[in-house]
Amino acid sequence: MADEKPTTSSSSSAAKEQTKKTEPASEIASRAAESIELLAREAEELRVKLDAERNKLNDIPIEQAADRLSPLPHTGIKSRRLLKGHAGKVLCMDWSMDKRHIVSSSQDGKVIVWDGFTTNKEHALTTATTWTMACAYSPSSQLIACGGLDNKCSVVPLSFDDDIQQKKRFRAVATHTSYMSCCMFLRSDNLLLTGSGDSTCAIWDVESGQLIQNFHGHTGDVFAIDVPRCDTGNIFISAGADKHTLVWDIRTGLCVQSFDGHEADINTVRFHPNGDAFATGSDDASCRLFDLRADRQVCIYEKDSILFPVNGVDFSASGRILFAGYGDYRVGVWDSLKATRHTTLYGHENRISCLKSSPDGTAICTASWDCTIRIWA
Amino acid sequence: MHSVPQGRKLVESLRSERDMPRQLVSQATTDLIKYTEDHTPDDVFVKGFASDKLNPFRPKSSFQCAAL
Repeated sequence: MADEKPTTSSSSSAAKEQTKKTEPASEIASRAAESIELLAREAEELRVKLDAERNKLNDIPIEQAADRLSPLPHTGIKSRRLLKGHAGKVLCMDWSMDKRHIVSSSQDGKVIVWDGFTTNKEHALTTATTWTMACAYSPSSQLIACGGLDNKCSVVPLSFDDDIQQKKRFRAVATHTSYMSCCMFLRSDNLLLTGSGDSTCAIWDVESGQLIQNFHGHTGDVFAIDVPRCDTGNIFISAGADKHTLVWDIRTGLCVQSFDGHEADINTVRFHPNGDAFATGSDDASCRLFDLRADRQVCIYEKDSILFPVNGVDFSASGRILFAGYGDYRVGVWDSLKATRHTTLYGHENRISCLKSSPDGTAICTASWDCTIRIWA
Repeated sequence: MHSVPQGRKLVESLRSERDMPRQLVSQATTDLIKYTEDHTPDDVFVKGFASDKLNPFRPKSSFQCAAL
């Protein structure tokens, strides 16, 4: 139903009224439809007020506030490691907290654990599905989670005594009603946060496989999730095909803030290191910066010459640089405060599917449809 | 919106969103800029490494085995 879209217009509720009048529905059903309609109208009015409130506080653009800062110096970032071994498109990667190991997953269902320093493969695992769209390292680095078109998120323990070819046993923890698009551990090895094509997010107990909390509110597939790195709060963000980023209260399961602006699917979200802002990347070829306290978009990173989707974004340690991995195989290095593109990094031979900064900010890693992973430093 | 409870939940969350306190954009961006300036000394992508030896991803030395 059109009413579900957060961007719904008042004309849709009028259209709905017409349908209702011509429908010979039972009294109960018509009463329900009436209250749904009232609620939809109220929601629409609230959205208008919300927009007005937000616009009142939009005084000075960030570029102007950042005018006094000296420009970014030459960064000297180069491709330092090339990880080869996947036979299909690499769809996702994640850093271990040891800042050295990397897990990656690919279209052919393989999950590989790499030593990023030596480029050696330490584990090569075959998952139960093709299109292993998401993978994640646990905080202790003893578990990895992965899944995709099987609608599941499974975990497997890593023990480095094993032979790399040894058959590992995956255990399904999470089950969605559509593909699992993104996953990450939440503070501990025992909590998994997942996002899905069924338009929900959920938190699961790894040990028991029980659903702890689910999050309904998106009106399209969820493609990306993130939690603040200085994680003292109780929120996470999610975004996807409905072009909105939603902020969730983990304890109550309620959506507490919503952010719009993008004109197409949002493929990636990442918190700023300060934990109060976040960046998004979209099929509309732009990245945007949103601030939780200002409750609105505060910056946009786009150029007329950039036409390709953004599939991965992350920040440097201070937040000054926003890295963006594009569908045109390139990495854009943006000055996040002046909103200018500083440099472009070349190396991949197909679209970049994922981009993440290492936990200490000394490197970034990109995964690509060219079957390789690159580490840039 | 498919059901009354769903609609109520939506209206409730929009109401609390409308009533939440907000900062001026200039205040939020001043905080962002301050955070960035405070952390710039530790940002190797902005400041670089004191010596290339400190870069864990410097070019590999030849004795390492890249095969496998």
